[in-house]
Amino acid sequence: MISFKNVRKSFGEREVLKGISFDVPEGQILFILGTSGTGKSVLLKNIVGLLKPTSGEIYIDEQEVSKLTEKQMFPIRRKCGMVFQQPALFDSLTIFENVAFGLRKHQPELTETQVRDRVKECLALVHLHGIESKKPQEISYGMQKRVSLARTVAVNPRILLFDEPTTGLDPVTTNAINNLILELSRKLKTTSMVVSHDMQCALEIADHILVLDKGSIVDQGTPNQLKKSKQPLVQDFLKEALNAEISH
Amino acid sequence: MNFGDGPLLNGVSLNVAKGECVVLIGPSGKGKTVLLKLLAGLLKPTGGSVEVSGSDLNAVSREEQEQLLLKMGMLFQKNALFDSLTVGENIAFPLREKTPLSEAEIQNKVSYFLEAVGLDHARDLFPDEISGGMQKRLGIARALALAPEILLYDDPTAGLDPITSRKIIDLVMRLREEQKSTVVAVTNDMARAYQMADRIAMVVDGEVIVTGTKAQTLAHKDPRVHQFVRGLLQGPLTEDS
Repeated sequence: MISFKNVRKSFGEREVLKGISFDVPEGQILFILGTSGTGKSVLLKNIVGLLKPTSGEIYIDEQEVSKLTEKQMFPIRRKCGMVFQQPALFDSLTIFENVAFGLRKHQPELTETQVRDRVKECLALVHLHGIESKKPQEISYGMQKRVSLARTVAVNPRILLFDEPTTGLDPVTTNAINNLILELSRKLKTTSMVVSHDMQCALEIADHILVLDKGSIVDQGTPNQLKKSKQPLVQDFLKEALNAEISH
Repeated sequence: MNFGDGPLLNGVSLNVAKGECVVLIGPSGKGKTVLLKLLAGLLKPTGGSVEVSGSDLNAVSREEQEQLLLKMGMLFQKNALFDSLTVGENIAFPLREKTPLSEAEIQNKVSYFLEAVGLDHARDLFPDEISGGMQKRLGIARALALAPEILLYDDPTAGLDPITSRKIIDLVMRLREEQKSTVVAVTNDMARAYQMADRIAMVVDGEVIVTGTKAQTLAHKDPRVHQFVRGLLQGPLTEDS
């Protein structure tokens, strides 16, 4: 579904990705863990063409995408739904209009009734009901994050990309969002990639975890394999996950 | 404390002893940062008083208030660095503004604090040329350089990975030890709260519940505390409240 083959990315003299290769099979949830500034977000941006690799190849459904033009990228981006750290909702639009926005743009053939049904369906997927007429600032931050998820899945992406979805959230909201990532990915049968610092979340919901350090993959495996890892950075992450004493 | 309808903080009391580190936890948007801003004199309470070293922050004269505020240093969530000043100048600037120190003394202090936070090599770089973790450390160094008796930290590790976060809090605690300062910090990260707090207090439903040490907090009987610190989805706290 998604493949990286020896992807390198430099900014000037500085090489941020140093030959990254991995595959995400269809329907799986891949977590990319690493410390701040280690190239995780750069990796994610290369998938949707917001950045281009300096060398190497990126495949989505067997199509090499890293050399495509902006215009050629459009259909690829339609397959991908990106969820940012901040909810990034339009604050002058109601929740209904926020979720409907992408639908109206990309599927103009839909009737108003179909749009309404789809918005309702997507809000129900993230367990929100009866808030369609509110503005973003009238609901809690955790609910705004849910709305941003609903908006992303409304246009039926087959790939979901999450950039630090739980960073800065309190423990309860973190667990709620984490559960939603798992639930949505399974229910909608998407292939999902999650860039994160949160080892506990990764152990809980990932099918496979990559650990990135200074632009290279230093360890990878299933949650059970990583729990037994002797790699020092992985051990540090495991220790911090235990220190938080959060139950899942 | 009121903002529009309904009190955000409903007659809360909290005492922080000299030299103590108290960490405020609680759901987003429920008053943690407001409490910190009341302490820093950035907001005025609707009723009640905020006392620093025995003086009511909002009842004293302007000069006295300024003296009280000079005792305090605050690290904001977004660091609020001067982006047109170098790393070194970010620390020197408030020293020039607020202290009678000579330029040579200021430069010495800059060197001392840059070394303390491991940024001596970055002295001549600009804030946008250093990483997020380095910016946090610079914000801490700048707050500490004025040698405040009281330090207020608003989410000192927001957005940083747990390994960098632990190192930053280690640094905060080491410098607190050196300067014997009093610390009040806000965080959403329980690992950090446990790492630094003498006592933890949860801000929720307009109340401040002092839950105590890590062990006392984990064993606390209030169902909201029990749910929050474990991140449980079932319980009295809901996202919609």
